[in-house]
Amino acid sequence: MATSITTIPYTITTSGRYRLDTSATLTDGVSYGITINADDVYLDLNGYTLRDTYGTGTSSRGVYAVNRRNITVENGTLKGFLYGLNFEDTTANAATHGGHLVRNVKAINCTFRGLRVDGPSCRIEDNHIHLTGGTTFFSGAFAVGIESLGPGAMITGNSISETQVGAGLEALGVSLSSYSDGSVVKENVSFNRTPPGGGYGLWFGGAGDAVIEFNLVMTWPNGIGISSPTFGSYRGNNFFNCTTAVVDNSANTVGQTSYSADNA
Amino acid sequence: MPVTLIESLPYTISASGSYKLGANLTTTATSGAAITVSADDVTIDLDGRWLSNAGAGLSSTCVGILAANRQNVTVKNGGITKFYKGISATDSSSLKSDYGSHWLRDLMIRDCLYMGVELQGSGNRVENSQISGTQGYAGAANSLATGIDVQGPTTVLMRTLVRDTYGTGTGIATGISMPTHCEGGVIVDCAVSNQYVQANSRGIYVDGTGEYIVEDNVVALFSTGITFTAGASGSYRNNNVISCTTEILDDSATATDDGGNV
Repeated sequence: MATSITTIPYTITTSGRYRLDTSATLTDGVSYGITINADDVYLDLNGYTLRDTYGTGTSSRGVYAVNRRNITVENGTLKGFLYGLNFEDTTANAATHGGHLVRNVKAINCTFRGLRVDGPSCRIEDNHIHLTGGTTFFSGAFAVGIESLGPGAMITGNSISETQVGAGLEALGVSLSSYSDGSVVKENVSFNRTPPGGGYGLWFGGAGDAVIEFNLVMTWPNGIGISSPTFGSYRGNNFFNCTTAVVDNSANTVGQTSYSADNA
Repeated sequence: MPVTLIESLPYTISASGSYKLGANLTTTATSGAAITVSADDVTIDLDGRWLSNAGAGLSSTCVGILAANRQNVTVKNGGITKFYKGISATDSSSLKSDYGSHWLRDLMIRDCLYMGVELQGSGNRVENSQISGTQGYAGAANSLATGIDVQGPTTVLMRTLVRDTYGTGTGIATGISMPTHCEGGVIVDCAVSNQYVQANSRGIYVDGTGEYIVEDNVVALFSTGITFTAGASGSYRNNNVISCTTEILDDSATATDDGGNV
């Protein structure tokens, strides 16, 4: 039996199954929709929508948790928040609190991050992220469709469209921002109608053996960016209508290969 | 408030929320729509059931699910059959970009007369669905038939089967069509096939200015397998096009064959 959520803000304090039973709207720009203060939580958004209508100055999150393990969120829409979903792991290397699963979630019109999921061994799959960017809460902010920090993330089957920033700023479709050892970014579509002011369809920063393959990236200033001193493998990606397909600044060491076959 | 059950037709959704089909439902209406979505932020879970226009005849213009100028409509998990259009999500803005963010998944849309899916607006996604047997509209001579018709930017179609799409008379059949305002359209991992080559039929057709990616699709038994018209730009690769009179018709000066097409 799932616990019904019918109003927001709502705080989950015990593990268990929860189900959103209404669409709901925040307007104050500071409250969070659903805050999860427990491990082992399953949250079914149940086809409903959590909205933030405050505007580009909002600091609100749709679903939020910090230093929690084993949270599943699925099946609904997060709309208009600073972060649609924000799971933080504040411990060293984001390597302690994870095991999260986020799937079949639509994050639209979020102003800073569509989905940000930190911690080890998280899966972010089959989500639809559209129209990310435009925050005025932070100045000079990057916009990121899906962001992950921590090892062993699996980011697959997501579509990320219209991640936009103005000139001089950077947008990222999918970002393995740091500590991403053993993460996989596979079969995602990161695309725009017109290129943002700057940025990368896929971004791989921080050390760690990630695999980025079979993704489609279209209409970005740069297709994929690999920072120094990362290492890993990228192959089979299709970068189209990107000014620069691959920016590879990795500094590989022996046994750490940056494999780049069959990218188009 | 639990999910709202839809238990009779016609049904109008006038408030944001989550809706579920409560039974297999049939309407014999010959115009209008079985379910009309008149609100944003709506999910319709067909719950494994069917929405049908059986008995309305081949000249029916009744639409299964209609959402005009709406944002964030999700339809999933069930069947729609024998309508003029199975799902019609339209956007009346000039560039087809003011509405959208729709998501269609896990659907079986069978035996619709004119279009399986009409999808307009920005940022739409279709996946894991089957659109088959789109054919037979008798309300006009030489009727077109289209499995999925997209108008609007940044729409992705993935992991979807479009099967048995045939025009009537000399009407052109198109499996997947992105005819206009579809900048940033993506068609990936789809199978588009017929049982015989109908004259002038098209498997995947992209037109109008903009960038497209057409990749990893299977296309079979069309007059033209994949078409990039003169204004369309994009990338096509790793498509398997078989038994088509013309496999790939690339009239674009800027589309790119990125290899692997057979």
